[in-house]
Amino acid sequence: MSRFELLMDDIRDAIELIKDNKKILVMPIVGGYATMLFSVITIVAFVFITVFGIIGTVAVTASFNPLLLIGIIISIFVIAILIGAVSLIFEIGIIGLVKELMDGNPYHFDHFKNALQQYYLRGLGTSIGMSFIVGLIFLILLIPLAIYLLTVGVLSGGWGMVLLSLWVQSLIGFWQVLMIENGAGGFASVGENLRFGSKNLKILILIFFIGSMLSTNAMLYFGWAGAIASIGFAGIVNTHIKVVIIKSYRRYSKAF
Amino acid sequence: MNNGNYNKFLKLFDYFKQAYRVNREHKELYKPQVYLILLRALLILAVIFSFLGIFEDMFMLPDLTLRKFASVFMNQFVGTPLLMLLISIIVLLFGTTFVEAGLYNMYYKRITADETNDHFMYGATKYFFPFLGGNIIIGLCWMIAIVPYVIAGFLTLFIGFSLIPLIINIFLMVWKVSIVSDNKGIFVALGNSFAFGKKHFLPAGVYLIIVGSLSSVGGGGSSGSFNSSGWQQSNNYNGGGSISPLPDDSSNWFIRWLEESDPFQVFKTLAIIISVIITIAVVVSSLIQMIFDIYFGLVTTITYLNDWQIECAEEVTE
Repeated sequence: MSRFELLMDDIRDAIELIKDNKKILVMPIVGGYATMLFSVITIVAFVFITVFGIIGTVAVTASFNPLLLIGIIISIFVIAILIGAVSLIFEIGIIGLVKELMDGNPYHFDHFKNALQQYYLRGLGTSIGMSFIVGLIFLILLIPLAIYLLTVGVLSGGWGMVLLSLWVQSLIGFWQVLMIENGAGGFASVGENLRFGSKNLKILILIFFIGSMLSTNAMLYFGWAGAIASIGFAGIVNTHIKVVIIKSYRRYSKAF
Repeated sequence: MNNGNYNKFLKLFDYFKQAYRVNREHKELYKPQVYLILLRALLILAVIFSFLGIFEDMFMLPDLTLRKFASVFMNQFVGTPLLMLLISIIVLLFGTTFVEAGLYNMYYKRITADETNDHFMYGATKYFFPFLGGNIIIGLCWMIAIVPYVIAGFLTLFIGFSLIPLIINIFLMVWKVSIVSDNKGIFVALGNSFAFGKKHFLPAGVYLIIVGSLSSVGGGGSSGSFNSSGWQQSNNYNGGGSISPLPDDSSNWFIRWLEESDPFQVFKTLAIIISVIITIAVVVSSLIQMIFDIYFGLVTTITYLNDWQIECAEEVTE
């Protein structure tokens, strides 16, 4: 059987597994809306504080203090880390639930808590570290990326950008899953993600393509109601994708 | 989703696998679409170059009145540009239907492993007019239904604008397959498609959402947007003096070229560059779109031939 056919079987198995354990979908749906709500509140608060801060500073000093700009940049980083930290709570917990389910253990909320206790801090540390590394690489590659965007991106009618994002996701996009699957350290899991991702690039690109396109587009057919539902729906799709990734990893990884 | 519909939904994954096998074994399915895409691109470029030739003559006129404009345009337009335009319109309007007619026959023959009359031209010539007729009937129905559709869209707080086409597509999902496989007329095929949509409403809806979601990134540019961007360029330039003031010590080759060149040459070069870039983008995105079209065309054909039977889907191909 080809890898594509195995993938179709994996997706079907994931659907059946989650259908038999519907409770597992509660946390992805709650997590999606909770993260969005937290992001909105934080960003709105930041905008208000910044706007009134600038107006207040200019009113008092009659000029724009350059230090304020540095403050704003630092605040944006802090907000990004805060939002990332909240979303990571659900990410780690859900992976814990999925892994236990795939190991044959029935759904129990303790799996969510246990995964958080064991992996949250190392996951957070790795996330912050990865943000800086990826940010640095992005800055270094800014000109080649801009050239890629203007050539391949434009000439492929947008598909070049989709492919680039799927390629990045395949190489460094599921290290959290591998961290919990292997019980390994954060950066060791990033390395494993790179190794496994580069060896199984085509099938991973396909998995992430299916996941991202479905979670982004499927609910568009239901108008504004779909737009609201799409956050919860994305959580459902991503949970299935996590099952598929673990199944693929267990099949193709040398460790098994 | 009840158990029956849920099992039908799971059955889709068997159809996906079957379609993949047929797709992998029959690469010739891609040829007609590739030729059509390349032909369309060449025709679009040919039309643009023809029109640029006309505009070049019009720019040479000392004073451009509407009367002179019309006269020069008509003199230059009759001939190769008109021929190119007519060919392009015919290919754009009927090319897709022609290729689809041939392809659906190929899908059917490849899936059922029937080697009689399995070539592209047989299907293209035999089913072109039924496909065209069906498209016209559906188009007319849409024109009649446009007012109720808009009203329903507003009444459902805009949800209907995207949901109604989805529901209609469920009922029209397999009429082309039915024409080819049942060898019946347009109305029988539309009836069969309606019956199929009614019988498998939910799984067909889920399938169409999957198809729409997976194949909707760039969507490719149409020739319309292509032309409109070309016109935009022309109008901006015609506005006169619309180029921003240039720095005195322009060492930049591009600015020097702008300064030294004849205005029409600047317009013409930019129009050619933009046309070529957009044409390449349209070709690439159409080629990617083609992969989805053929793959899901095969899935749709398999689904109809199997009538979403839970037990015996594998028997359709082998």
